[in-house]
Amino acid sequence: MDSGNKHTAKPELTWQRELQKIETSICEGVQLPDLPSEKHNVFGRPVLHQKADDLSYISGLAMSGLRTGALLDEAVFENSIKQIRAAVRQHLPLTITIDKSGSESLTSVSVTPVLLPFNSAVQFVSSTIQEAIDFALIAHRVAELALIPVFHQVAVRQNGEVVAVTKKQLTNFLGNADDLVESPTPSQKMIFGPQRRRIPQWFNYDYPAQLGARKDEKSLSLESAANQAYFSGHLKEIISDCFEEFENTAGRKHDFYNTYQAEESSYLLITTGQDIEGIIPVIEELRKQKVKLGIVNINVISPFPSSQIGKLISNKKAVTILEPLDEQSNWLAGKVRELASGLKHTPQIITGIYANSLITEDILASGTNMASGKPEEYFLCGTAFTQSASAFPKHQVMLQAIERDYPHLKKLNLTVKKSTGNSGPAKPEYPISHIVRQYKDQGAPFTQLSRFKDSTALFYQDGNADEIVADPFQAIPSVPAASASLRTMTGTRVALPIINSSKCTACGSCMVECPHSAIPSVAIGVENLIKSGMDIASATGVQIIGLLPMVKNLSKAASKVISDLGEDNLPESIESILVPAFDNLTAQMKLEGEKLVSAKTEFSSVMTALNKLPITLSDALYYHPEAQQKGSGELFFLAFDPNACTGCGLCAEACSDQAVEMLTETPELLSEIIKKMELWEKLPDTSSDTINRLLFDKEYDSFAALMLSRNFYHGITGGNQTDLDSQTKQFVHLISAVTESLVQPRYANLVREIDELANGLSENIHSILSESLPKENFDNIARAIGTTHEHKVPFHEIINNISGEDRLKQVDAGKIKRKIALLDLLRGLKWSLTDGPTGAGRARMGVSVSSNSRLGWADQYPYNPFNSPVVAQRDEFSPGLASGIVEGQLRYLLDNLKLIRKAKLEVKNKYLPKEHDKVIAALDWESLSDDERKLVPPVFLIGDQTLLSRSNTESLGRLLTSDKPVKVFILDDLISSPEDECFESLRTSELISVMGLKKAFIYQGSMASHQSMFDGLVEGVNSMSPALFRVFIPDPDSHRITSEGSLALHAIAFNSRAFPNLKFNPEKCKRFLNDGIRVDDNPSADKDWHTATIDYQENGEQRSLSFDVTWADWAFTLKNWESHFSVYEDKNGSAVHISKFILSDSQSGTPVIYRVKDDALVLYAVSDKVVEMTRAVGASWALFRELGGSLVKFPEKLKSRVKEELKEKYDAELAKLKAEYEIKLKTQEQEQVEAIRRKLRDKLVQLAGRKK
Amino acid sequence: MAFGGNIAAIKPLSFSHGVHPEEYKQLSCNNPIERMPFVAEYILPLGQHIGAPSKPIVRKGQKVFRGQKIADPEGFVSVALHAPVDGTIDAIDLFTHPNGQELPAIKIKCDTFSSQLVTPQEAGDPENMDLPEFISAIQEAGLVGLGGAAFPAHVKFSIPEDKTCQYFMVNGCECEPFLTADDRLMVEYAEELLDGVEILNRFIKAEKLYVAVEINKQEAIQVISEKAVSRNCPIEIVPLKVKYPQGAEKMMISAILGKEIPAGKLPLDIEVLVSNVGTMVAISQYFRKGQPLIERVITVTGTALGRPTNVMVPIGTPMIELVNWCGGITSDAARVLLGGPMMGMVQKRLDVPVIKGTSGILALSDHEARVMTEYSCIRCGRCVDACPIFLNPSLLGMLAKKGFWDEMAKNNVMDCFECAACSFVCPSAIPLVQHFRVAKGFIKEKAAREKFENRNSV
Repeated sequence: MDSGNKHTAKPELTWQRELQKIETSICEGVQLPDLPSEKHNVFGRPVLHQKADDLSYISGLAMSGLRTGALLDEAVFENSIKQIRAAVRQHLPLTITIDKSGSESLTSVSVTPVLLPFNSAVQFVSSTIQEAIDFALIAHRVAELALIPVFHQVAVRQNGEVVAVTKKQLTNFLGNADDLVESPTPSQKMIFGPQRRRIPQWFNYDYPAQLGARKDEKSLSLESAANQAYFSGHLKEIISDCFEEFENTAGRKHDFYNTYQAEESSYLLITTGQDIEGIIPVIEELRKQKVKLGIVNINVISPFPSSQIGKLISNKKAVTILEPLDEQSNWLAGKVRELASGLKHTPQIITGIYANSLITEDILASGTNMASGKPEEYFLCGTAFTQSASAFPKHQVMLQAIERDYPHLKKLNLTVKKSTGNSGPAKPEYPISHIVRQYKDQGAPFTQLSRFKDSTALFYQDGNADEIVADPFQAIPSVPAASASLRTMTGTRVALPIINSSKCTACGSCMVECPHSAIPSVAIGVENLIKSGMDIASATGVQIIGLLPMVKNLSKAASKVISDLGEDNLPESIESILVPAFDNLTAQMKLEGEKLVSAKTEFSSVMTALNKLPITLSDALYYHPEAQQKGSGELFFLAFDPNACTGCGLCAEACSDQAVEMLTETPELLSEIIKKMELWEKLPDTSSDTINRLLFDKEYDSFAALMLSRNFYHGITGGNQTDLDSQTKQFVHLISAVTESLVQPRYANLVREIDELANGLSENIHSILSESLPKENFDNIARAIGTTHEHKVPFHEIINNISGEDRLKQVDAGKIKRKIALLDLLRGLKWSLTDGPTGAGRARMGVSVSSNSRLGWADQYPYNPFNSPVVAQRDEFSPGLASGIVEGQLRYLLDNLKLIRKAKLEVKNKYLPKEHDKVIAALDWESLSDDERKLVPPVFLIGDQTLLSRSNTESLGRLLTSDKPVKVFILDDLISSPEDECFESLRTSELISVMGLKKAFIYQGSMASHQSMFDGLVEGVNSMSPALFRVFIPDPDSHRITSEGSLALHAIAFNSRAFPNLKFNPEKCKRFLNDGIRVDDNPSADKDWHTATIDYQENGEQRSLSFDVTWADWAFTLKNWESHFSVYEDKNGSAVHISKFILSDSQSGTPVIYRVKDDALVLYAVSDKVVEMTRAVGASWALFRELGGSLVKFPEKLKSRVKEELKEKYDAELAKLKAEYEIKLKTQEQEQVEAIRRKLRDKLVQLAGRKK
Repeated sequence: MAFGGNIAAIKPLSFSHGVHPEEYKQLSCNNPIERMPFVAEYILPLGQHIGAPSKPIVRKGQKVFRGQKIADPEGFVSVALHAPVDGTIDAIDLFTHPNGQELPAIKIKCDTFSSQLVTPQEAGDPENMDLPEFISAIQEAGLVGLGGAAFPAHVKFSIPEDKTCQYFMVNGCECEPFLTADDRLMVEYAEELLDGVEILNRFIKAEKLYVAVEINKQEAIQVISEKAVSRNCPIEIVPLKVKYPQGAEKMMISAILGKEIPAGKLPLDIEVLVSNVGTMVAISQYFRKGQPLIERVITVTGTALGRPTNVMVPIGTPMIELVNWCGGITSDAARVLLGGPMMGMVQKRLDVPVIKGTSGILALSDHEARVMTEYSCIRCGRCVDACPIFLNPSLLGMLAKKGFWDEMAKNNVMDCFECAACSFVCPSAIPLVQHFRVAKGFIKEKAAREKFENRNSV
């Protein structure tokens, strides 16, 4: 299975690339994942191409007589099933290669061939790159001769060299589509005559016919019978001929199957999709051991080469069929069994199932199994269900449980790995991250993080994923929350950040920029820090007594030390403040002798506990508050999480003070960082007062203020190596922090309320019970006591002794029972909110991620970065799924709220079951108060721009009008392709149509302005209504300029109106849309375009030029628009800047944009498409302004004209006229507004695809 | 008999007298050793062995690793103690010991997120050690006799200079009904067992090595002899008759060598050393893998137990957790014993931890544990026939009732090793062995008092 000569300089090949090349060179119409590299095929015909989600395009081309080929991923293939059936029925000579790599698996494992459900179609399986290429050609010829589509599954597992097919061979073997060929079968001769076009034009203007008629049952059965007899019946012959012809042309021999030692052997292996060359050594090895084994690998699975295979197996002792595990597994075995049953001497038939690929051990085991005399008749390869032992004790516990309950599974594995026995790997374990340690894992086992670690994540971490067995949990693709924090990036990075705390200004940029939540921090006052030090020291058994009363004075002394130091002489660690402070204080207190010694010992243990904690004295956290009130200043400390940090260096880039530096990782540095992190864990959280103060501090980044709290910082956790997607991850981190900060206080309030209700209820129960006791006349009690001894007795004994007339009052047992039950439920609810099975309390949000490439980090098994429930789904279903989740969750949360309502009544003793039960049971979302609604955590739908595509319009609209707490985040990279429709205006209009619904909050913006984004997020997440956020997250890979980083891209997108800032709050929109829309955050918001100035040199002179920044400037940064810009030498002065060009009616001149290159001004002419797009973007911007009310209020011109008219004509009747003028003015204004509204509505209706 | 793996005799050997109670081994003898899942807390009494309690070397709040030493031996007749799990020291305080007393112990909170791999300890290379080094290594490994008495292994292996060990016997008899832990251990850990014997014999230099196994453990006999052949280990497998108390040192020696240990003497006085199979496995695991004694195999069984089985249990596991994991105790349970039904102690509480000497937990139902009414001795003499060391339990019983301790001592009651064969056969249900235990206590106490007074008078 070696990939051959490794010394060649050629780059490694992938079959997909080679196959696309071949298809482009022979076809006239292709549907391929990549753009065709050549514009013309070898026959000189242009190659048509369209990216589509189904096969309709190339089916149309094929009907018209064009040679077509497709490489489909599984999703498109599945979408196309109906069309494929039609193509089979209509005899279109399509060849379709199916690419199954990707889809649900992470590592692109190649196809495991299955029998596709198209009985009469041809199905090839290739297993080497050479086969993949050759079969692609043969497939075309077969399809074109037989007039039956050919499906080609590629099971290439290893790259290798290919011998290319020459142009001459191609034309010889396939010929031109236009050629007339002999009709190859008698039936075709009858249908077409002696000759036909190589690719029939079923759809043709010259001989019009109807295709795809609906037939009655009788006719349909005739059709399939005829197909069988006159078309499929010729297939084997045609395929054989094509193989032969190919050998004649290209010199390579292929057949229905490959064999090795198949005829001479006593035992036979039957496979498909295997590279037989790689298996030969294994067979040889077995033959050496006197196991006479041969192999057949089937290349054409439909039509199945039955007679040949039947002959091969007829003289065998046993035959093992190795086939992939699939929904249709056993098809190959089924075929072979069928053949065997017809034989005189039936060999023993054995089935082996493999999961994704066969390994040497599997082949060996299959061989020895057959020859063992008593073979297992059904077994599994590769996938181990059990192992006799695991090196990991906890894993072993699970394995033995499986073995106990499923003893038969052990027998299914022929190739169980040798027991690693009791000799476990002696690996030092990495420290478990803070976030994991808080988990209590009391939920069902499948949600337990520790369980997940021991059965799965541990092995991924150690790179031993092979050790994982198919345990029952593997059947459930559910990953516990925060499993990403089980991972450590130690060992995968080269550098670690360190902080120079004296340079640090506590701005928090690094914390905000870190996509992996790896920079937790704390702001803490001196006094609290000392107390924490004391706590840490006492936890290790040190007794702190003498130091306790000194804490306040010590912290005062420390403030004194700091103010004496001055801002130029900043301390680096807490030691340099506290040590002199302690010395000053003890001197001042005149501590001596034993007292001094014990204080010193205690103090030094506190210092050891604080371990030279590096601290920052910053303006925002220390000096400003200290100036307001002595002692209120706080020290800033940040740690780097050694597990989550990937060493990407974004923090160092973000730090404008050069306080963060990346150093090559050494064991010493790592242990230093681990120590700091452990210390951070032991410190308390930043107080909410501090965070609230900073949120109002205009100088301080609000995101950074939130990140100071560990409770908000870890909404998503854990590192992963997808630096390209780090921007989307960082943004989701910010959303989660904002949400945590908004929802946690709501939960806290609810918990307080529950506490009050619970206390009230217990008081209640207590008073009911005590009321039944006598208040004044205690005779009965006295009598009851009289019979007992004179010592303490349980109360029930006294009560038991009360008898006869002395009986106590009656109590309402039902009522007490009801209240106790309610109390239990309340306590349960409180537990769920504060602790819950995870120990982290109820999740503050729910997430639905549309899995796509840029959110790949979000659903990468086995590392779940979310602390909340999350579902990853394909785009087209996500809006519907999200609304299902919201409604579904609501059902449970309503029960909680009903409970609270009931308790509120009960606590006041006003609860009357007959009256209230019905009302409470009927409680629904609509009848909730705003405060109650806020207790429902929001559901986030996070995806890319495809969420705004047409196919989602309806479901997205439904979601956003639902009135439920659902927030949609569209992370848009603003990448467009010149081939696409004018999507900019499309997306804009989608956005506007959402606005038109007047139900959802909308924010569009980017991280270019943190504050605007922060405000937008807070307002949107907090709002009662659904919200839609469209956020620009650049994808640096798609841009030509990368040196300036994403900040430059943000600026261009913002300034060029490619991505204007926009906010719409339906709550503020009383009558008209424009009440709620704000666009004035944009640059030059009152103008069409924002004006920029560039400096350049001309003839040695410094010059500058002002121009309008337009969408064309944005497009200029994009790689895939590169061909739409060409350097323009303005010889005759016909260059017109694009902003002017689109305004002029005549459209004369050449539209250009300005750029400075090497200090010189360069003009780039732009294509028509760019002009069109720029115009569309301009129109979108105008529409926004119009909607926002900044473009058209009531036009001044109109107003003055009306005024003049009035003055001239009705000078005399001023008073009367005035009245009329008012009226006229009013109607005109109304008409104007009405017109805008109508225009809008029409547009919306049109966009929503509804009929008027 | 020069080659390894030789099975000594066709006919199983045995001793005279003894009894044959119903075995009940089928409840668990075919269940492979399972590993107990890790639990939240572990309690490690400092005194789990005969001798002085160990001395803690950890402090509260400290992180410890599975296999790390947490207490040093205090003196020669004492062993080290190790953390059975990765975790944090939660307390060093008084906790209830399985013997019912409140005794000092270390409580460890288990780290839920650790994979609980053993952190190997530096054991040293047995190939390059002398006897004192070996003895101190065994002491550091926390090794005790795993048969039940928990006598420090290194003390036993410290052969005085004036003595030699000619015969070394590995005790795999497991003659107590119900218990199958040693049986499974021999089947599943035969390789380690033989390795342990080979390591040990480098130092004790016995001329003859034996593994004594009752013939009801056919698989164990077969596996050990196969492994011995393949390792070329010069050990002789001795099948013994199924008879109680075959596993008692004295009985085993008498069965194999036909020799008797004089009263008040030790096996070494007749050049014999006996050790349990578990101890051999533990020696191998310490020297080969650096794993000290942090876990052991326990048979959790009985007619009143949900799922009788053999379990590899970390030392310090609360018994209730273990019992619950084995299906819990059924509602008709009458009594829980630590150890086998013959010599085991009735256990009143299950919140105590498993310790190094815990060999079995036995839950008996009403039916098995039925308490019979005691009648007068009818002098049937069955107890005399049963007593493996030829005492007269009938006589002793009568003396005990009258409190004639001195008289009992004269009748050698101190030689009784409390096998309870006499009580088992007594048709009058006289709790003979319980009487002897009391008597032995009084006699010991008296002897100690006299010793003390003598010393004071001098």
